[in-house]
Amino acid sequence: MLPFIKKLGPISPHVHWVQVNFFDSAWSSFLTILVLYLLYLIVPASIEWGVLNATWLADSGEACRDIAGACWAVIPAKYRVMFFGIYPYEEHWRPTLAMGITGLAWVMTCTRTFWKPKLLAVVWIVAIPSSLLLMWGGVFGLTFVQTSKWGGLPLTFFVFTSLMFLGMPLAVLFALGRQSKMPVIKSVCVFIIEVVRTIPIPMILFFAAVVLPLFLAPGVDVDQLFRVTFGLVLFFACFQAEVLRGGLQAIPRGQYEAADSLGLSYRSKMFKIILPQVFRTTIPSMMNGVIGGFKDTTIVIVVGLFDLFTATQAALADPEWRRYFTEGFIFVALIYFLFTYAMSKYSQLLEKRFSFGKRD
Amino acid sequence: MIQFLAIVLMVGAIVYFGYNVAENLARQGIASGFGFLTKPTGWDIGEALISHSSDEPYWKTLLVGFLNTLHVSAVSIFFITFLGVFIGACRLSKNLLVSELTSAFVEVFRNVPTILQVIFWSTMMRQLPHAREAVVFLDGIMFSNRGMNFPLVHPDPSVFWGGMSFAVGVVLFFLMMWLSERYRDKTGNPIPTLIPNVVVLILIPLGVWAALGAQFNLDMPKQARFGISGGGEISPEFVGIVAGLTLHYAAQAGEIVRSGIESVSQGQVEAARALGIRERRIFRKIILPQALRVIIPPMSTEYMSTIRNSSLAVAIGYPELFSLGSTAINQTGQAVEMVLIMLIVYLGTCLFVSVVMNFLNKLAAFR
Repeated sequence: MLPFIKKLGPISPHVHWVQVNFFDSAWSSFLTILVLYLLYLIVPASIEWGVLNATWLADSGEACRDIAGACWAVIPAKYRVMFFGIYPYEEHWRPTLAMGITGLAWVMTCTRTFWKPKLLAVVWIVAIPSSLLLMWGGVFGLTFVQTSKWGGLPLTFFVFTSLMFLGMPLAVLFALGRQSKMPVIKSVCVFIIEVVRTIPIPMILFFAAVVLPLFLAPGVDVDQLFRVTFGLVLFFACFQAEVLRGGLQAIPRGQYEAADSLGLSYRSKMFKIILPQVFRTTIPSMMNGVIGGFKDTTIVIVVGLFDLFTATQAALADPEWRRYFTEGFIFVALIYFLFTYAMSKYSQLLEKRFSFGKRD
Repeated sequence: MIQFLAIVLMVGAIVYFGYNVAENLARQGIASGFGFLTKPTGWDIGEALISHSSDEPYWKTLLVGFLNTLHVSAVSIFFITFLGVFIGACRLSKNLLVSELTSAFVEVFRNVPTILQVIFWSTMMRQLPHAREAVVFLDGIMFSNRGMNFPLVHPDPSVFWGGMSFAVGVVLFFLMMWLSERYRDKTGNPIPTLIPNVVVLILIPLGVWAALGAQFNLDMPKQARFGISGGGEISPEFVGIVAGLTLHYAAQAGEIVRSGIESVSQGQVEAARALGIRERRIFRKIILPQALRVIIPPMSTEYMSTIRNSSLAVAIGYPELFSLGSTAINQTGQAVEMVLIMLIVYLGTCLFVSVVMNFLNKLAAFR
């Protein structure tokens, strides 16, 4: 604390708080003033640009031409393309409903009240086929929409949900395989994990989209969306497998030995004793991987799939609105941020919820 | 039994895929093998560190791509390291304003997908005004839709050799600091290093510079009739990919640095204070060595991700290895060979980083 402040005598707790946190030393006071000055430069200008001088609604890009502020009108003008890509315009209610169903299922999965395995199994068995059916159509009078027309946020949802439902089990399989005592299984798992982890994701996706068809028999044709999703799933699984391996190694030997001495089979030992503990200890890094997986869905831009971000970029390529790409980018960045931020907060919640029975 | 099944499955898969590849390639009339590497490409590259033209063979094009990948990665890793340490320090600041604002910065830049940031910065650069109306900072740094232009020091012999002797001085400086630390650890008596440091860092380089003519001319970028002439130039794509990677990974690195420093138990610091050791020495001798052990392993993962994700530049058309490689696949159809080459190059680069970082980690480990 600065000496001349000390001389002022006893002070109120609020002033004390300000002193300790902002003016604790000469250096700290200098930083506070510097940061306040920088904020003074940035914040009023941003508010002026983003709020005060901004246009919220306009029929065309021309209307925004003469204003100094942001042109948020680009979002109401283009939100359909951003959110749904090139999905047929009249059918947009279908992906909306599908997203609603999947979103609801996710919310239920994340809420403690619904943590009953049978209930959740039923929820997902209903949710996944019904949303896929809505997207695809072709029955019940719904027009058929091929996967190459899927796009926007529903595509992001689809890829992310696939990552969770296909990637996580695969990750468990890889991690157990890597810990396995059988040399063949072990070396195969080590090989796959280590190789996939060094490949850049764009390259995996490119491989899945362009090169993989070469490996299939002529006439066998797997949809591009599924191939690309599979590429992401593989990458995700290999990363999560390494996280799980860390967790597996952190489980005390005694747990394995106790399970063995009780005569439990490999399956019940792993699924009833070891893995629950592994999942508990690896929540933070696991959720980090999940968030990473969500962010990585954007890389499908490389192979030309229209996820939320690619669709936005395509929408902003319109010459009329091209000047306002900043506004569009801020909007999608905000959407991604909200999802990832929610996930990281949820991860902290889970960590707290499962911190029982831990030493230290 | 399971193993036997696994072997059968694997062999089956390899035979099946191999047969299909052979069949498909034969049908498309593509000869497998690496012969295509010596054929001319017929397309030119926008940005290359070595001279390049459209009739160079494929292997040279790939080399250009590899060098560009290394260029982007090295520049990004340099900035990530410094910015990461800076962010980590700000996060740990006792000043609430600084730590909270940094935390907000970290949350934003690590939670927004990297590729979005990369494309944002490069689009931003491209949408800047023409060179004639470039945005100018400090009279010499210009931003326009042609990229970033900045002043260069004219490579006069006096500047060159002065710079070289300064570089030698930096090495000598660290050597002296290290030796004096060792001596101090052994005997408890410090050797004064101030005067020799001033000599090697300032006096000798200045002397060399003065002796060779004391020239110092800046080659300033100037707005010419068409574009900008003089100085150094960086393309908008390069700015985009480096800015995107740096901001995203520096935010992550900041968290790594913070958690590393926080992992050192407070008791250690208190014990050191009780012994009357000065704060700076506590940081250097007690906090840093223990924190580095926690920081280096995740940092090396971070560096490897940076190298791998430099391939995101494909989305903005920066010619790095993957982007040129995928063009080569489209041109020649030699998919399997190209994928193998790229795989080996990325694997090798990551392995190199991992070896270097392991070496650093050994240095930092308990002795």
